Amino acid sequence: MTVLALHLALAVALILPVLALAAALSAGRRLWLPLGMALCGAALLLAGAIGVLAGGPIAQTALVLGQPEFRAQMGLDPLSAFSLLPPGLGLAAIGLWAIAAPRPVSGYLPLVAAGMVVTILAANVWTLLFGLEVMAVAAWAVMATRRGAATASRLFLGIWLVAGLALLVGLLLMAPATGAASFTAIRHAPEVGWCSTVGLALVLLGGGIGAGLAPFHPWLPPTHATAPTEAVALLSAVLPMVALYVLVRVFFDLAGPALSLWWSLPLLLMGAAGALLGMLRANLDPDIMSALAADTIGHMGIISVTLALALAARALDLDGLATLALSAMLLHVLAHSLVKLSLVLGAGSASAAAGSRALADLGGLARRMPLLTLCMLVAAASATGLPPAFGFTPLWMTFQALFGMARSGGIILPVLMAATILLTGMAMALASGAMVRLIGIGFLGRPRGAGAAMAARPGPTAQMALAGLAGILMILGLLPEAALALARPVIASLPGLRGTWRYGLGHTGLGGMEMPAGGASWLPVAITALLAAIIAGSLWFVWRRGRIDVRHAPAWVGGQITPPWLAHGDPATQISAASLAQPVLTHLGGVLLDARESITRITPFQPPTTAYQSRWSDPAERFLFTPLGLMRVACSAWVDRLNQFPLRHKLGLVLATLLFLAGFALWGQG
Amino acid sequence: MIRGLIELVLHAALMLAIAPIAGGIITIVAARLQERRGPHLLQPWRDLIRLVRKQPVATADVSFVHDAAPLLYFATICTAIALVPSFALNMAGAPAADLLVIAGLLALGQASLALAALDSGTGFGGMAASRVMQLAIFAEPAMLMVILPLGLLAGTTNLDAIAGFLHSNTPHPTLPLVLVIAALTLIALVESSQTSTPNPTAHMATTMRWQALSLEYSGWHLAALELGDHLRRLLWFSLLILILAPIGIAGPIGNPVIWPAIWGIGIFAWVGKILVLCSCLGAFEAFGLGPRAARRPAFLGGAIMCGLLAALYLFAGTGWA
Repeated sequence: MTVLALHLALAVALILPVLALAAALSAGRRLWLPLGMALCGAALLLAGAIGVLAGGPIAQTALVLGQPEFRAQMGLDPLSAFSLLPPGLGLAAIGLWAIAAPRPVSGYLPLVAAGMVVTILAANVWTLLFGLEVMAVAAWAVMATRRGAATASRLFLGIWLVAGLALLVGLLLMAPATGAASFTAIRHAPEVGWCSTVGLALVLLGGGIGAGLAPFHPWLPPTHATAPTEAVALLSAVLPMVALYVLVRVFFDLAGPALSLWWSLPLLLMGAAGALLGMLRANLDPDIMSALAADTIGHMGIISVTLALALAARALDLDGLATLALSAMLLHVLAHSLVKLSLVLGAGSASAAAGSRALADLGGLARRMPLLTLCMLVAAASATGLPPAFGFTPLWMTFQALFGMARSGGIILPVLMAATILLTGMAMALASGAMVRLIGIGFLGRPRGAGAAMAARPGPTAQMALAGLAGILMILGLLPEAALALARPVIASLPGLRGTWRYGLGHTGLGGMEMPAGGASWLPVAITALLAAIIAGSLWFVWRRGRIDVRHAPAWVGGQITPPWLAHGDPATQISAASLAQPVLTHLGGVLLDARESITRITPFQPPTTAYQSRWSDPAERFLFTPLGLMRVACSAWVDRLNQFPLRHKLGLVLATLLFLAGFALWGQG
Repeated sequence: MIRGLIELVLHAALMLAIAPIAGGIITIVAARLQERRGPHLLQPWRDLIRLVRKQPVATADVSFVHDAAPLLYFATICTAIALVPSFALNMAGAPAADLLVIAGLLALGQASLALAALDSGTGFGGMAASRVMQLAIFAEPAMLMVILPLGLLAGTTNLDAIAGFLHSNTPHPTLPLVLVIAALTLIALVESSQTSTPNPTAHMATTMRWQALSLEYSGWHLAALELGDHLRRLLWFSLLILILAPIGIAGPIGNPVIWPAIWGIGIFAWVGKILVLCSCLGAFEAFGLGPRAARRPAFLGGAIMCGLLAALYLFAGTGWA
């Protein structure tokens, strides 16, 4: 069965470039492109589900591509099969959505997806790198053709080249000195010593960059802000998951089961910082897509925390805890993909209809597109991890794992856990604030711009895609057991984990993770049923005993007289996106984001406007990305200077290099 | 099982009936301490009935969120309060009575109200939504910092099991519990001061924070919000009582003949404790000691510190059960 799934996924990986090629050869509006993408997505989902549920050992195949040393090797095990689910979901949803999209999808998009599939199926270092770089270059091509996206797409390409380089060097350092760089070789002969340590650190760097973990996250918001919606959906919902897959593959599989406890520390720190920073930025970004990107950074941070917990628990031989943390991570991956796809596609539809991505121009869309808003609300509830929604399950498991680790004894680890609980709780509160702002400003209230006031409803297939995603989210929210059934074989297949435990919302022993028999998976159903019963009962009571019909009247805007040309009242009488986030900025922004606020008040000698202005900057941008950019400029200036050297200096340089190399070789001989 | 179901129904009925009366008691105590007469004890109930009979008026541009939010708010609070034990342990909802679930349900209600306030499209609504979401950044970590020491002590985040642990004779350290109770009191003070109890001495601007959320509501919408407010305050009281003084609560005793007697004692004790808490809050309100809008983050910060200290104490000493 696993072989069948592998061949299905391989077929998809081959069909997708053909689709891209055909798209390049044809022009105009191509219906078959989104349709083909949706079908490929469905096939990937099928392959993933078969691969996970079959749960067998790794199926491997070698393609006759490339030199013998660098031959493409593909394999499928439950972990990679599970990782096929986000790209499958992404392709299916984007394809369905794009059939009625306002502008045709980019022809490079199938190539991005093909790169992802190759990365996930890769069974040696070369194939992995090939897939990653195909994905990066194709995604760059999608973005670079957009107006105003030049800087962001260059940043994206640069970031992914660095990530790829780090992964390449890191994985090669981990590989045994003799033989090919296949995963089997790395797995069976783990290199010990500084090579392995440096290699793992480089993999952490590369994977962290790709997954948008804390100090390496600033590439996400600008690329999201400028990329087309379908690319944003892939960038936000699938791309970080691919990088995360690489991290999990290396840290849980290739590095062997005896990894030191200390490797969880950088993941924990990066995760907690990323969660807080990302969610905070999601409250502040003025643009709907970059706010969603910031939300992705936050969620990747929480996922990284669970990854760290699982690593630490495995190192301490707390099998139940490691299993719990890993399932939290896998469910979070699934939830995040579903949520981010709905949010990005919904926001894309809305902003395309309203003609702007700035929150300040949207508003009042809930009346024009109620189904879309409802789907967005379902996704937002899941994104904030609130109880009956699916997102609550992984979050609950994350907190249980944190509490469990805090009980594991010692002093350093529990204190770290307490701090992480604090930061994660704050991040989740910020996440709900961000979602309230996104939906409350973007979709509710009165229209803030002319485009929003005249926005047309998106096409039926777009609504179908969103409703389908919301439906999956609701079903999984009611039956988290179903999602867990997909996570279990993955955990059981990882080395060093036994993966035996019961899950439930009920009475949970924190340390040992022992739960009473009798299955608690009906609890989400019970809570949802109770909520529905109370709502129905109160409606019935009001209908029988009171007045249920609502009368509508114009809004009270403080007595101001609305100019006749503003059909929906003066938008300035509503709160703005910046003002909504102002208390958050005041309380947390000063320390974390170096925020500056200023208010221009009305004075007799100035034009009669009161203006609130705020500025903030991401510390990662200030302390890491800006200096790196300056360094790059300095380097290129230096290379320029090198170029203008006279001939004899150049010859001298060549001679010096030769001498250095000869000396190096002699040192190696001796 | 039967017993658990009967207890759940009794508990729900009791909560629904008592919640507005508790609000009435607070108002009366506050009025008497200010040497005023105060309204009737049942005035909150009368208000609710009057509101249900009136026709609601809504802003012209609202969407379905405006109608759905009060119902969702009310339903989340009702569900949450059905999970918090009052006079008996091991109710039918006990397996679901996870503190994280309860906190999540409250957050869901809060978020739906904020969305509704933004949907009304007025400036005041937006400001209220902004402040509510800002307060949540401190309220949720504070709640987690209460859950952490309790979870460390009892080995679970299930409220029923925690209450059973505290009620049992198992030896447990006093200092962390005192800190937890202090933290919970601070949170409960902040959360219960968010209700729309009429306070004649409060300035418009200070009460605006919470009331502006329901500013655009009338009729049964407002009735659902007000009953939800009452229930929410009662929920925090119940939670505080459960940790502070679980005396008299009906434990697992098998003989059906004495069930009514145990329940009677449990209800009597619970009502007495609620009365004491209501009087305290009334006194707080009367003399203006409650947390004002600007001080609420500081209160919650104090709660976070208390919870963190309790957890650190538990980490340092290895002698927990």
